[in-house]
Amino acid sequence: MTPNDTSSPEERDRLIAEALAHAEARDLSYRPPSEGPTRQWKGLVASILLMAGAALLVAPPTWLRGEPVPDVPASAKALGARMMLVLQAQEIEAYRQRYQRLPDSLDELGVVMPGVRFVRSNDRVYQLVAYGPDGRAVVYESTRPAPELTEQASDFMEGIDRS
Amino acid sequence: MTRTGSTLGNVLLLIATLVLVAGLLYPGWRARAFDQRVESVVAGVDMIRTAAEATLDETGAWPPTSSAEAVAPGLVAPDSSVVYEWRRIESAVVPEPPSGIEATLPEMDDEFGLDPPVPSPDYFHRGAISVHSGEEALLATLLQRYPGSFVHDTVWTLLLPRVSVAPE
Repeated sequence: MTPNDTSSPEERDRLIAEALAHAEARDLSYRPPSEGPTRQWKGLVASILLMAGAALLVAPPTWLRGEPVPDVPASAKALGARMMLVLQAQEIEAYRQRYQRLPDSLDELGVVMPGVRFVRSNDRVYQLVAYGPDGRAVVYESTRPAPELTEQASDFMEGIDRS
Repeated sequence: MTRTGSTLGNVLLLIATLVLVAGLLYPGWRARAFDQRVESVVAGVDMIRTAAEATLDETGAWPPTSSAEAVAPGLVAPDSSVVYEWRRIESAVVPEPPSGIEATLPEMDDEFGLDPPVPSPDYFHRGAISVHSGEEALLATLLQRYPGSFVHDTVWTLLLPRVSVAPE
C-alpha cells in the first residue's frame, strides 16, 4: 500500500479485528493454565515450611542438636567459691609463716585467686570474701574458719592428692 | 497482576524452604562448633598440664606462677574469649608437737628457762590450671571431663596434687 492509497472502512475494521485477535491469542499463551488453586497451594506450603523451620531454629529437638549442653550445678559453684577462699587462705598463711606478718594486700602474694577480696582487720586477723552462686557473700574468717567451708575443701584436696 | 502473584508465591516458597533447611542444619552445626571448641580448650589444658608435669619431673617443683604461655610455649587459645592461667599455690603446715613432749614442756621451762621449741612449718606447692570463659556450657563440660576441678564465677580451675618443697 502506497501513501496515496486509501482504505475502505470495512478494510480498516477487518485489520483492527485481526490485530485484536492476535493480541488476545498471545496474551492467552502467557497465562498459566490454572492460576487460583496453585497460588493457594504454594501459600499453604510456604506457611507450613516457615513455621517448621522457625520451630527447628528456636527449639531444636534432641535428635538434631545431640546431647543437651550442660549447666554448672549450683553445688559445684558453691564448692568453687569455697575452694577459692581456702586456697587463697593457704597462700596467706604460707606468707605469714615465711615473713611472720600478714600481707598488706593480695598483691604481695605470688597468687591472687580470682573473685576473692582480702580484708585485713589488724596485724593478725583477716577475712576473705567471695560471692557464691546465689550472690551471697561467703566469708573466710582467719581466726575461726567455718567448718563447713574448710572441711569440704580439705576433702576435695585430699581426693586430688590420693588420686 | 496474576503473573506477579505467581512469582511472589514462588519466592515465598523458596524462602520457606531455605528457613527449613537452615532449621535442620543449624543446630547440628552449632553442636559441632561447640565440640570443636571444647576439644581445643581440652588440648590447651592438657598441654599446660603436660608441660607443668615435665617441669615437676625435672626440678621436683611445679613451675612458678606465670602466664600459661610461659609454662607451655606454643599454647594458643581458640579465641580471645578464652584465657588460660597457670598458678602455683603455696601452703604451709605447722606440725603438731608430740603430745608426750608437750606435757613435759612446762616443767622444762621452769627448770631450765628454755622456750618450748617452735616446730618449723612444712611447705607445699600445688599446681592449678584455670580457664576463663563467659560460656557456662564450656565450663560445665570441663567440669564433667576433669575430676578434681571446680568452677567459680566464670573461671574453671583444675587442681593438681601438692608436692613438698624444701624450705628456703
